[in-house]
Amino acid sequence: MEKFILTFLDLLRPLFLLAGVDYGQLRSILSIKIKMDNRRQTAVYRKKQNDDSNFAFLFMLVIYTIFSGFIALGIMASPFMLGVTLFFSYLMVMMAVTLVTDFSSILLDTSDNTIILPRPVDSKTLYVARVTHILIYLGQLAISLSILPCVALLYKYGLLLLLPTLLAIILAVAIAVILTNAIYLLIMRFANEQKVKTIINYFQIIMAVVLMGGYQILPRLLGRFDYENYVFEIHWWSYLFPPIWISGSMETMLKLQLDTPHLVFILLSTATPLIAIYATNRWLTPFYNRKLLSMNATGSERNEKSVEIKDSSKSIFNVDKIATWVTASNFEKGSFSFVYKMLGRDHKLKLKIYPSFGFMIVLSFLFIFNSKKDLATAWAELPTTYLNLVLLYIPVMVVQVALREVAFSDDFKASWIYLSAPLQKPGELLLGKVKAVFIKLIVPIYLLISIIILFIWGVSSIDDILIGFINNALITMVIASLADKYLPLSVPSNAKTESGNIARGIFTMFCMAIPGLIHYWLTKFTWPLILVVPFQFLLIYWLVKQYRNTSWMQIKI
Amino acid sequence: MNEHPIVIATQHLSKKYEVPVLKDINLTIHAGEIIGYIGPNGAGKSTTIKILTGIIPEFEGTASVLGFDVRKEPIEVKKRIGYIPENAALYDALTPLEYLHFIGQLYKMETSQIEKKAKELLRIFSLADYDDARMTTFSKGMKQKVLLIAGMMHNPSILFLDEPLSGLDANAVILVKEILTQLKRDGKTIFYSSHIMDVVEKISDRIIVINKGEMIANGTFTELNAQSNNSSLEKIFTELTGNHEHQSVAGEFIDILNN
Repeated sequence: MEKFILTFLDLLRPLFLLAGVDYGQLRSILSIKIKMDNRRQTAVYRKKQNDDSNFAFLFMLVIYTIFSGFIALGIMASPFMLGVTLFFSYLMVMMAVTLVTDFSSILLDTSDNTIILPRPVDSKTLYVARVTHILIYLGQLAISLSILPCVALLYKYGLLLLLPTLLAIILAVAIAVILTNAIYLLIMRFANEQKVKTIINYFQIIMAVVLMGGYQILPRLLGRFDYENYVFEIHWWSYLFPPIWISGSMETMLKLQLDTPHLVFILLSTATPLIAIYATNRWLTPFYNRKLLSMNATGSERNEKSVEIKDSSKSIFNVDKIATWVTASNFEKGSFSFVYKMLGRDHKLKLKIYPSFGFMIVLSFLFIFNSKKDLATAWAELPTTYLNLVLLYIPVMVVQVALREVAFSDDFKASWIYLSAPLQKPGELLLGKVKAVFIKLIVPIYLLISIIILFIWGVSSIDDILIGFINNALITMVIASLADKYLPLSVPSNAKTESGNIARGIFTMFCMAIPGLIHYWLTKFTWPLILVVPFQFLLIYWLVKQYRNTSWMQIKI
Repeated sequence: MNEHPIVIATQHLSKKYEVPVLKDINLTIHAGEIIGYIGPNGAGKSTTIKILTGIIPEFEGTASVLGFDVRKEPIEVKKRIGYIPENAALYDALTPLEYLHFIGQLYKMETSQIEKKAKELLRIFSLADYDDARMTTFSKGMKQKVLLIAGMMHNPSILFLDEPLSGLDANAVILVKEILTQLKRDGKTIFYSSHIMDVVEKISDRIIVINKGEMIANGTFTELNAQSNNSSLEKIFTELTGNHEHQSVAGEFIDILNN
């Protein structure tokens, strides 16, 4: 890929020379940048142990192309405006999200300032290198996202549409990029570097969920949709959606329609990028450049200003208060508070754990709407089903992921503190970790699920909710007891072993199923469910006791 | 009186962000000198270096390096100097060979020359076995060695070093000190910024102390010693920068520990 792009670039060498660029330096910079793009971890491709892959970016492009296959099918099955709007929505959303999630690290990166700026590279060459790098990146993304839909369009409507399609794709990409850039700079204008990183982190989490969830849900949704009889109508809100502007403009070219709505679409799709570029350059870019330069000069803003942490000491959710209630020793309390805080603050940890909440929602959706019935009927019949029991046990998915991921960190070296502390039973640290995961991640989501269940299934579900909650705690303890014993954030991120993942997955399903099935079986009896609570507590007490006694010999370091 | 030509000169050099970080710095440095540039955190050392290396283009006053105006001809300056930054900033997704190859290309060195030099220099710093491994797995010291090579590979006339010994093991520290001494013998000028006082004391011909953006001392160790009647640079530094209370602060620290 790198060689192919550089060879293509060589063809443009005279143009670069004409522009006064040092082509040798430009080529070196781009060669390195493309190499690093392929080695960078993306939201789609996360590195595994000893992974020296050179194809991370290529992998992402292939995934995007596969996804675009669904869109191509949509184009083939639906009327022009619907198919094309679907395509441009996909193209623009994916461009924007990828720019924010994966390219933001490059936009915010000041290492060029330290590595390239001290070398004899003139500012024009460096500027052209940056712009060319961004164009190469966008070009590859745009091709992977649009190649299959483009083929479908040309196959269905004829080769005459080639030029309008290419123009529309360029315009769609331009609008997506310019608007994303403007929004991005706007956020930077009003948020500090730390907040920007947090916002990007949430985008990355959403991206991971959308990709995995979309893969499951899209085909099912598309399968239920009546494309052929869908009539595309223009409403007032159509003028707010850029994909519709571009689709409308394309329709004008295809059918030579020149009524008022189509003229407005053409105007919007051509004027918006121009206005956005002007506004960005006028108000946002100068600020961005100043900010990057000051970040470079002073090291980083975070050195200057401490991260704002809300004073929650008086709140009921104060971690130290919760720790006092739920832990038995100082070590356990320390571990609880530490893991609880890290689960809320460590961006990388959040990126690894929080998508499982999304998968949880996707899985719930699949359970609820998996029948052949339409969505409304499936929803109306919900209270007569036992799906409430399934929903109660779905949070276990998060437990499994969180307990595993909370062991890994880039700052694993900081775990020396465990080894130097006068700690006889590391089980206390482990227990603090498990309790933090359960209370920080499971309790809130379980509360939410309980409210939904009470809303749909009624108050009679309250004993199920109680039993389910204790069972969730029980399952958490079982998973923790049987998993590898790692201290919190003590293992290098790249030391993960993927072996045993399938076995672990099956085991979790088993853990979810057994208490769930017993729960279901118990509902068949007339005596109150609540009678099993003492047995549950007894089991949890025994597991906690065993776990707390974990010795150093059992700890994996 | 130094008879060697002046290679670094500043007049009324000042720089302001939200607050002033450099105030009226006047430097005159001759070829072949090793200058120890010291000061507390936030004193303005790195900003001075970034201005002299052409990284920060906006400043007040004048600055020239090797006769070139830093503001007007930064590329000519950059061609002739080497810079080793304070933090280990390199593209660690690359291998040391790939990285050094890239840096060499930016200095327009011949490919064969880059390959040869990079391999030999990596061998000298005991990194030959890692020349093809990605630097993501490197320790701070290993990355620092690569940075040192990247800063010197093109054989610059002036070296700007910002905490160059950071993370290096004892052998590497001795090696770098020896390299700097021999470079000086070859007529190279070295602008050395560090917090490690004994190294600065040993290798510097002249020591410049900066505090809160202002130059507060400039002379040989003997001259500074004579002025302050202190036996070590550490004590001279403490006195010059006005931090006399170390003893009482340490006492307070111990008291807190004991309570």
